[in-house]
Amino acid sequence: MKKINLNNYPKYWIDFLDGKLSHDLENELFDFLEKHPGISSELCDPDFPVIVPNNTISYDYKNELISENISSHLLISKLENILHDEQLKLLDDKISKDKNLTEEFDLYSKTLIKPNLKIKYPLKNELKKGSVFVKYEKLFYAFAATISIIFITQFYLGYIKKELMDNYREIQTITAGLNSVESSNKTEDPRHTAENNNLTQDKNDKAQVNTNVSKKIKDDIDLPEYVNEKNISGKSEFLENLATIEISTIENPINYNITTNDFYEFENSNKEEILFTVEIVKTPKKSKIKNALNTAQDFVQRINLGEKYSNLKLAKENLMLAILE
Amino acid sequence: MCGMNTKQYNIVVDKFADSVYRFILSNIKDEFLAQDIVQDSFEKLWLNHENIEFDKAKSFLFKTAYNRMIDNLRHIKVVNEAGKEFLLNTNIQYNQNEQMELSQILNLALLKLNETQRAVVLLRDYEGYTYEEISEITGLSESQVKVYIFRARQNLKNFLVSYKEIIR
Repeated sequence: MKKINLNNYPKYWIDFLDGKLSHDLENELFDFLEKHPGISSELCDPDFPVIVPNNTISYDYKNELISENISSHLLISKLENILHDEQLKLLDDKISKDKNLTEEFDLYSKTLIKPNLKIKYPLKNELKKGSVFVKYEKLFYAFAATISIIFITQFYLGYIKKELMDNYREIQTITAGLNSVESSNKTEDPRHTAENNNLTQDKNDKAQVNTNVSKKIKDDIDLPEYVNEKNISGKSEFLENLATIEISTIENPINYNITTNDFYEFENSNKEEILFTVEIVKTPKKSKIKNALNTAQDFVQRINLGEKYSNLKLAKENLMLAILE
Repeated sequence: MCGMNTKQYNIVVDKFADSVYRFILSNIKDEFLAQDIVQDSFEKLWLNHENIEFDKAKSFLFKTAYNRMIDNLRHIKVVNEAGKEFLLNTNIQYNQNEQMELSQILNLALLKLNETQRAVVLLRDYEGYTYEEISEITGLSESQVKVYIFRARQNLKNFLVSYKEIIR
């Protein structure tokens, strides 16, 4: 069946002019025109209107437009990381040579939007499914971690305190040990025996004996009330001294800070006016404590403090009891 | 097809609730509405968790949240546009004499974009989605996604230039 007829021949004629007609339809069109010479002469008339494009008209900003678009497109493509290696190389080369292009790319680079990670969804736990533990899993862990930290801290503080107390106790034990050594020595040494007798006999002596055994450690140790702490703060300059023993007279409360070597200079002081203080400023080596305390006790016995010596012993015993409780 | 179990679902909550929320909030600037949309999206995920693979959960969430957001934006568009202009002008005037951080300026610039441009550029920049993934989430063709991102970047850049000129 023929497709081309009097009603539709213009459409096929235009397709023919545009080169869009198939070979079969082209043959059919020519057959049709042969059968209708009037139509044929009309279509082939040189006055038949044909619109010819005016090639002299051009868009003045074409180059600029193309350049701008290509640049923008390429710059954004570079930013989006979708350029091929060769394209990227060419563009980088172009950017490095063109200051305007560099600025342009810099501006595009700034359009990358970074998420604000501080923004969190506040109801996350409510989204979760399962048991209460699952929903609030992190809270449980946080709680458990807090409890653990509290326990560890307590344990650690307790441990430190115990260590400090042990140190403190060690010093006192040495003191007590020395006392007992002194006591046993006294039975062997006739000089000590005599002094012991004096101690028990001279019960009305008015002098005071005050023993302060302090150690510059943590303030949170519960020191017995007769341990004088007031001097501790002033002793920092003696930190490097292994043991410092202080002796002062009642009239002159400013202590003389002396070392054990200077101890005997006080032997001639008025016995009743002597305030006897043994103060260990810093935890020293055991041997040094022994030396210091030996010297101190030797001194006390030499100057014949009488009941004061008993008080000194009693104070030390009380101190030991207080610590061991 | 192997769906998710409860544990996997909860992992998805932990991993993606914040990022979905950030994405929606950056688009609509309404905390409560953003929270509702996130909640709805996760509810839908939970209802379908047995049919959704763990690896596909993020994409499902963003797609659901995006669609919910678009539905909501249609309802509040008029108000949103008015508020947007007000917010934009106020911020520009207020900050004319102050040095704003780039992120603040970009947040203002985002308001100038239309909702599709804003959504695709945020998906691209916030989550690093490929064009194909963005296409799947938004229902746009890949070519459209590219064009929207291209235009969004141009608009953002132009805003940065104009902002500099305003405060100069």
